[in-house]
Order: sequence, then structure tokens, then C-alpha cells
Amino acid sequence: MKLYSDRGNPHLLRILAAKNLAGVPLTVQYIKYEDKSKFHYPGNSKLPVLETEGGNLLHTPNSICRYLLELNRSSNEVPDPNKEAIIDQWVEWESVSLQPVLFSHLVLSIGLGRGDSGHVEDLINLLRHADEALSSHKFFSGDQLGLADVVLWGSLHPLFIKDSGFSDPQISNITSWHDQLMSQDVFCKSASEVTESKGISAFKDSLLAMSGTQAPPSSKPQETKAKQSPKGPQPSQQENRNGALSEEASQTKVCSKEEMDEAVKSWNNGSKNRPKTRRLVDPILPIAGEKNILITSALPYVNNVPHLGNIIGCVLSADVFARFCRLRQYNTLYICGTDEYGTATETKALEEGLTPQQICDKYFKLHKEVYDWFKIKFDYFGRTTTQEQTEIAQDIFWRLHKKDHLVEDTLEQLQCVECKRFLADRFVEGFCPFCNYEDARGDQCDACGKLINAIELKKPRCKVCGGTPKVRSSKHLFLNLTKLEPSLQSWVDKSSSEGTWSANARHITRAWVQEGLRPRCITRDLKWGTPVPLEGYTDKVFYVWFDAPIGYLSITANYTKEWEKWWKNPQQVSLYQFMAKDNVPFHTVVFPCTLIGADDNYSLLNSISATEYLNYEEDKFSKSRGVGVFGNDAAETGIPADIWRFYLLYVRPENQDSAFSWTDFITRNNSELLNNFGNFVNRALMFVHNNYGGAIPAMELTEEDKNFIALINKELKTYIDDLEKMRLREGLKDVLNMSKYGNQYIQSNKPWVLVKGNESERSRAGTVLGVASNLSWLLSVLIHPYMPSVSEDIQRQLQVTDEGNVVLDNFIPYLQPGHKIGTPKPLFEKIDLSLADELRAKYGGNKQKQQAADDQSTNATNENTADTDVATLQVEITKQGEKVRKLKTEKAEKETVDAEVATLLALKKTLAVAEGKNPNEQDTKGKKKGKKK
Amino acid sequence: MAAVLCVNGCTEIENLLSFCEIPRDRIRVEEAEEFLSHKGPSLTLSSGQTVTGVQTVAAYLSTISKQKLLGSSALERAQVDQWLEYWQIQLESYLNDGTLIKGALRDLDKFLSRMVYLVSNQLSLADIMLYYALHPVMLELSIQEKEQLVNLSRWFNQVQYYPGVRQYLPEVSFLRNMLYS
Repeated sequence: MKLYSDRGNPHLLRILAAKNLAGVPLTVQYIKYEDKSKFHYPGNSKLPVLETEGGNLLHTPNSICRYLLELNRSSNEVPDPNKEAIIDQWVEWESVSLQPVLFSHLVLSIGLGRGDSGHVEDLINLLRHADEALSSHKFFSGDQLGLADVVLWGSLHPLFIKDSGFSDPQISNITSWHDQLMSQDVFCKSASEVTESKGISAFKDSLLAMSGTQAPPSSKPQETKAKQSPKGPQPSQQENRNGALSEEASQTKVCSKEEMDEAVKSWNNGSKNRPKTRRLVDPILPIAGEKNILITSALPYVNNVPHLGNIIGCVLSADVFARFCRLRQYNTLYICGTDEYGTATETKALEEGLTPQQICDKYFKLHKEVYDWFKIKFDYFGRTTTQEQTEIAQDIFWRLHKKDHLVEDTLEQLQCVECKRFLADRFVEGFCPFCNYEDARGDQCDACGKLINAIELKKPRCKVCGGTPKVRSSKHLFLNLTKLEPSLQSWVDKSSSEGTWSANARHITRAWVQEGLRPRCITRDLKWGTPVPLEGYTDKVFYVWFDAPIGYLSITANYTKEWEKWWKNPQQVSLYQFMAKDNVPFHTVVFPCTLIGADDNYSLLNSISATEYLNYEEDKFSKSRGVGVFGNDAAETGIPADIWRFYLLYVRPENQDSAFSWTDFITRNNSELLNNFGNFVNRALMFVHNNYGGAIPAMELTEEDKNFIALINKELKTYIDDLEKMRLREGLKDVLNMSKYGNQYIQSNKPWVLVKGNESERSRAGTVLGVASNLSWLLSVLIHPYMPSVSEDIQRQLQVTDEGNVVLDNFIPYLQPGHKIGTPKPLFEKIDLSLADELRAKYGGNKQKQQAADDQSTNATNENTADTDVATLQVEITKQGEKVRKLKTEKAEKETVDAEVATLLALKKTLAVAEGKNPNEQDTKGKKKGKKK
Repeated sequence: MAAVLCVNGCTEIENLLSFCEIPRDRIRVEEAEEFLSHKGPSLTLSSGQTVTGVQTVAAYLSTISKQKLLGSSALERAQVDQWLEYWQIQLESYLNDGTLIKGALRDLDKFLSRMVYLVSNQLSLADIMLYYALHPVMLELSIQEKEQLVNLSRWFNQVQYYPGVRQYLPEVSFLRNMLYS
């Protein structure tokens, strides 16, 4: 049996102790650390490695020790599971909890010679935890010496060597335990074999070599694995099942020599030829040879007042990405707008006594205002009700028609002769075909509960006018998705492998395609929509789901006449689309099929980011029940837009549903923003202001500074990768990590002490502050996509313009020594936690508080399972609305009109109160048009 | 006297417990009052002491189960341990990073080209825990990717069909015909 190791490797301590204790014959062969690569096994390779008689490899120190001690165990001995469990617990604790912190401490204190490694506090806590265990037992393994003791001795022994710089009186049990072991020959011998009388410095080379190939980068919170607590999320607890590990892992970051060299090189050279912020000019068009990024957010449905879930799902997410792309100097265009056609708008128009166009105008303004408040920087925010929409949609239609991708079919629907309208299910009543109940509704009978098709009702009645509707056959056009399926599949394969598709988008797409694609109806018998140009169908309009995505193209056409350079240019354009997951099939199946079928070299989706649902406290957003934060509510709270942006992005439902929680919102402001990010920037700048006359001091980098810069570089690379791949939540955490490191950096150097010392200590403090101030500048750039005003604020305090707003690949000293900063001010304010209770009550939905008299209209897209009261009221409202409209057009007496309007408003109030459970109003595109996916 | 297990949301331990078919008199499951997902599973032994740690609890369950999951020699026991360490310390943190996880899958695939199971020729705790850990990743892979990782796929398929392992998890499908080579 052979053990391969480099000299002075600290893991040797425990292995040799195990070997000596077990009395197993083992030869140690010393090799160079770099030669470790000749051993192959999954995972990061490191030394020591044990090669058994049979040629098997064991490569973790603890498993090697376990093996050696097991060899010694006689075959008659049956292990006691209880004793084994105690031992296992310590061995696991050592490798998962202790080792990461201890290793970093040793690397910094022995390897880099740093007096204070910054890990001492954590180390002490861990040791105290272990110390307690020894108060009831002589050994970690129980009453007798065992594997746990060997492992922990090997781990902790370096701390007890003279000059290790570590001492703490409160681990007396461990100290006596250690003394006891050292009095035994086995341990004493093993120790001297490894240190070779060199004392603590024996480990230096090995430690430095090993830290270059440290275990994986800082663990990210593992949302996919943590089980969601039923009581709403507690993000801090959901962070990671190995919460302790990720915390410690991120503190143990030590960089390799190569990383440090690279960091210093770019630090020294980076300021020369630094690119300046790129200012794109309208109209933004693709440029050959460059990265041309076209970003869309799902078009919000016009007559829904947007709530926080809609905002984070679509426009805010796309905005962060768009800002990031601009900071990376990509040629970027961000397009969005309101989706205005469809039944819901027609219905709402009737209710409010306005025309559909007037409804759209009113709500378009509302949307625009809300998004402006949230600082969403669209390049253009348009509408679907334009001439360009009609032209482009009809053009695509004709192409599909010519290429034979459309099929005709007939649908039977009930049409009210009086009202001259095809009736949706909720507007029909009649005798149930099964049980003869006289008030059966158009989709379901309340008496016997059976589902019905409206045309099956006996003696049907139109609920609006009471007339008898007739069954009319209506011809409709269908897009033949079945025929397009093979092309779609090959496009999906290509796009999803080349671009970045969020996991849910992949699943949903796969599920749709696997089910088999069937022809989809693309026309409707409505007035408010894009007219169908084909003869025989001219009284119909396009179904909103067919025509809405075409809105992306037409809105761009409203922005620039040269829209085709974006939308018919897949070679040069990368299309990134943001939406909530319920919109996915329309963007990955239906719309691509439309464009593929139309066959005009359209730019198809390259990357897609689909969010899950944002819940509200422990409920769902519901306008009608007054549950949740909608539209202008956010502005009314007095909490600045950037804080809202921050929190929504912090809880962005990326891999699973998440929830908005007032308590969490305020807590995060106080902890992450105030105490972490804000605190770091403010400290650094205050210090420079108070002690250096507001001028950035000279910087002479020590090893520690170089390591710090390399650490920031590492995090910066992660940030860039996260944002390029639209992992917005991760990117935000990366920024917060950097400010956390910044805090640690200042904390461990204690400049407030140094500045009172001698010349060299003062200049040391100067270096630290200079680096910290430059990190503050870097953070101002990196935080810009998330919190643009905060970014501006920092830069104002630093007295720099935004011309440095470029996300470079490396951390460079933008602020040169001598640069004068302004007066530092805190970036954030503490919010009192009691405000959480106040606001939760205010937006928690209280039936008495309903004020339907305001413009807060009820959501009437509840076609599927309306309860009778609600449905009746809705019908009444529609009737009343008709009345009002008629009176207005007839220019009736003011008093008469006013009286009828009052009746209408009263009805709406009643409806709001009566409306019970409403289905999730997350969708912004009014998807539930009685169609099943 | 029975040991008391507190699962604390650790699904792997839950599944392992069902798989192991441990007699009722040896283990009792109780849940803590407060669910704290970061705490992990814990076990209160008949001696009164409580131990924590997912590897520790898993090993304990394996020891008292009817199934032989910890290998049949000192070497195999050490190898199982090694895989559990790999799972906790390296694999867990790769799971959110596409590049790292792909690298890990390739490493595993290479390793499994000459091994039936992760440790010798029998199913062990190592196979079971890595199956649970890799399940979400494997579910995501395209047919082409699964084909490129033919050994890993073979192993995964074997483990998922082993009676009692898969339980409620969705089946990951594998095609036997090579489509891409």
C-alpha cells in the first residue's frame, strides 16, 4: 500500500496517526504537488492519495483514515450503530463544517503570513461547539479513542503548534484532549514526521499549493433542492440545506497565484484605453459585426392594473437585463407595449360605458406611469392598436395562407340576434340538458353540476337582453401546427441548445410538443381586433393570442421604419424574451410556428427567461379582493422605487414560486442594503472624507490586497456570467457578496487604528481606503441594472460622471490617487419594522375597504368558474353599461345619464364585494379565453 | 429502544428510510415543531445523544437496515464514505452552475465506464444518494446529452429501476437506440 503526498501536507497528520494506531504497513512516497494530476477520479484532485494493494485509490483524508482503522478491526467485532453514529457525526462535521474555515485560516495565517485571517471568530465558534462535546466524554468517539479523534487531531493539531498565532482559553476541554493525545507516542511521532522539526512553517508550501485548487466557488443558494415551507418562504432559511457551508465557503475564498497575478496585471494596466460608456442613439439599429441584442418583455394586457408579480415577471426583469447589456456595450434595443385587443377590453368598455379605444387610451397611460415610476427604461413602449399592427399581421396571415398552413373549420356557437353578438358562455342561460334545471349556465349546471356546452342548453336565453340566441355555425381559420411540428421541433432543439432557456421553459415546451400539436383557431367573431382580410372572414378578427406576439414587430415598426433589420435578421440579432411561465407556449410554440410558416427569414427567439409565480404574503394577488400591491400603490407607500426594484429582484421567482412579504421586504432593506451594501460604501467614503481631506490616497498593494482584488475579480466574473445567462437573482447576490467582502476587508485591516499610528501605518490605511473606494465605484456600476438611482447617488458622492459606466471584465482602479470625492451621505434609510404590519393590513384585502367607485375596476375575465351571484351582477353591469352608452350617444338629459351612471357604479361596488375567489391574476395576457392548453 | 429520526425536510433521508425497510422497533420518525430547512436531519439515539449530519444519518439507517448498503469490506466502506463526501462537498455546490455540473457528469461517466455501480458490483448507499442528487439534472438532459454520457445513463437507469429506490420521483427516460452516433 502506498501513500502519495507532498511534503508538509497537513492532511498527513491524521493519516499517519491512523496508520500508526492501526499498525498497518504503509510506505509514504513524497512527490511534487503538481504531479497529483496523474491520479484520476471524479472531482477536484488533490493530495494525499492512497493506493491500495488492489490498485484502488482513496483520495479524501477522512476516508483514508477510516479505511486504515477498519483494516485493524478484527472480523469478529460487530460495530455498534450508536457508537458508529457518534463517530460519523464528528467526521462529517470535520469535513463539511470545520475544514472549510480552518483551511482558509491556515492558508492565510501560515501560507500568507497574515496576522489576522479574518476567520478566527468563526473558528472559535466551531471549536467551542466541539469543546462542549468533550465535557461529557473523554474522547470525541466516545469513551475510547477512535476515528473521530484521529481525524480531529489531524485537523486541529496545527493550531497548537508554537507560533500558530492561535490561542483561546475557552476550549480547555479540547486543549487537555490534545495534550492527552500528544502524550501518546503514536501522535507525537506522526506530528514530528510531518513537520520535520520545522514547526509551523512546514505546512506553508503545501497550503499555498492546495489553495490554488480549492473546492468549488462560493456555493450559491440552492433553491431547487430546499423544500418550501408551507408558511411562505423564509429566504434566509431556504438559502441552503448546508447553510453553514455556503456561508463559510464564501468566507474561505483564497485565490491562487495565477488569479492574483492576473488581477494585479489588470489593476495596473486597466485604466489605460478604458472604454467609455456607450450612448446609443435613436433609432437603434443592428450593426454588422457586433452583438445586437433585441429584448422584449411580455406585453401587459392593457386593462389589468399591473401588480408586483406582473412587474417582476416581465418588464422589470427585462429592464435589468437591458441595462446590463448596455453596460457591456452591446447594441441593445428594449421593446414593450400594451396588448390591447380582445374580448376583455370589449367587455370592460361596455361596463364603463366607453368605447374600447377610450378604455385602451386610459389604461395605456396608467401602465406607462407605473413603469416610469419603477424606472423601467424601455427604448420604446408602444401599443398593439396601430396601423402597423394591421399591416404586419395581415402580411403574415397572407403568407401563411399562400403556403397552405391554414385550414378552415366550422365551430358552432350561440349568437344573440338582438345584440348581434356571439355569446360567451357566461352570457347564456337555459334548461339543463341533463336535469332540466331552468337556470343552468352556459358552461355548467348549478343544480346537477355537469359540464355543458352552451349549444346544448334547451331554450337558451341571452342574459343581456333576454332574447333567444340561435345556434350559428361560424367558419374559422386554424393554424396547422401539426404540419409545422417537425420544423418547430428542429428549431426548438437548435435554439434551446444554443441559447439560454430557463428550465421551466424547456419543460413546458417539451410537454406541449410531446402531447402532439393540433391546429389552433386563430380567428374570432369579435369587432375589437385586427381584421381578417380573407374573403368570407372579413367580419372576423384575429384571435388575440395569434396577433399579440405580432405586436412585438409592429411596436418596433412604430419605433423605426427599419424594423425589419431587427425582426428579419436572425444572423445578426439575438432575441431575448422575458415573461411569466404561463406565456411560454405562445412564445416557444405558437408564435415560432407562425413565423416559420410565414417563411420570411424572421428573427426567432434565441433565449428565454420565464419566471414562476410571485405570491403575495400567503395569498395570491387579487385586484377584486384588494389583496396585494397594484399599480400606484407602491409609490404611495413612500418607499423609493429602487428599494422596490431591489426586493422584487431579490425574490424573483426563478426556479420556483416565491412570495412577497412585507416583513421580509423591510428586513432585507435593513440588512442587505443598509447594513451590508450601504454600510460598506458609506464607511469607505466617510473615512476618506474625514481623514484624507476627501482625496483618494495612494495605494501600495500588499499580498493581502492582491488577494482581495483577485477575490473581487472572481466574483465579478461570476456576476458577468450570471447576468449574461439572465440569472438576475444570482447576479444581485454576487454584488452583495462583493460588498460583504469589502466590509470584511475594512474590518480586518482596522484603518481607524492604523491612521493614528506611524507613517507606514498611515500609508497602509491609505491603501486600504483607496482600494475600498475603488470597490465602491465598481459596485456603483454593477448595481446600476438593479438600482439605477442608487448608482447615480454613489457616483455623485464620488464626484464622477457616468462616463465610466461599463462593466469591464476586471476590477480596475477607476479612482486615481488625488481624485477628490464629495460629501458622503448614507445611501439608504432604515425602515421601521412596524411599518410592515401597517402596510400588510392596508393591502391585505378587507371587504369593507372596497372602493369600486374609484377607477379600480373589477377583473371580469373570469370565464371558467364564475359563481352565480358574480355572473348575474356582471350581466347586470353589462346591461347597465349598454344603457349608459346608448343614452350618451343619444345625447340624453344630463340628469338621466347621471342617474344611470350612478346605478352602474353602485352595481360595480356590489360586484366587487360579492366577488369571491378569483383565479390567479398573474397572467398579463388574458390567457384563459376558455381554451385549454 | 428505538432511535428517533427527525427528517427536517431532507427528502433524500425520507426516501432512504422507505427504501431501507427498517423494523418499527428500531426507528421512529418524529417531526420538529419548527421547520428549519438549513438544519438538516437529526437522529436521537437510544443512548439519548443526538447526532446530526446527512451522511451520518444515512449511514446509520443503512447499518440498521435489512439491506447491505455500506459495502462488504473496509475498502468498500471507505469508498462509500468518499462518495458521500464528494456529494456533500463538491456536487451540491455544482448543481446551480451549468458548466461545473456538466464537467462533473463527464467525470462520472468516465468513472462508470469500468464500474457497474459506484462501489464494486453491488448497489450501495453511494449509488442511492447520488441518484437522488443527480435526479433533477438528469431529468433536464436532452436525448443527445444522455447518449453522450452513455455510462452514466446506464448506471442511472440501473439504479432508478432497483426496487424501492425511485419511489415517487419521475422516471428519467433513456433510449436504447443510439440516435446521434
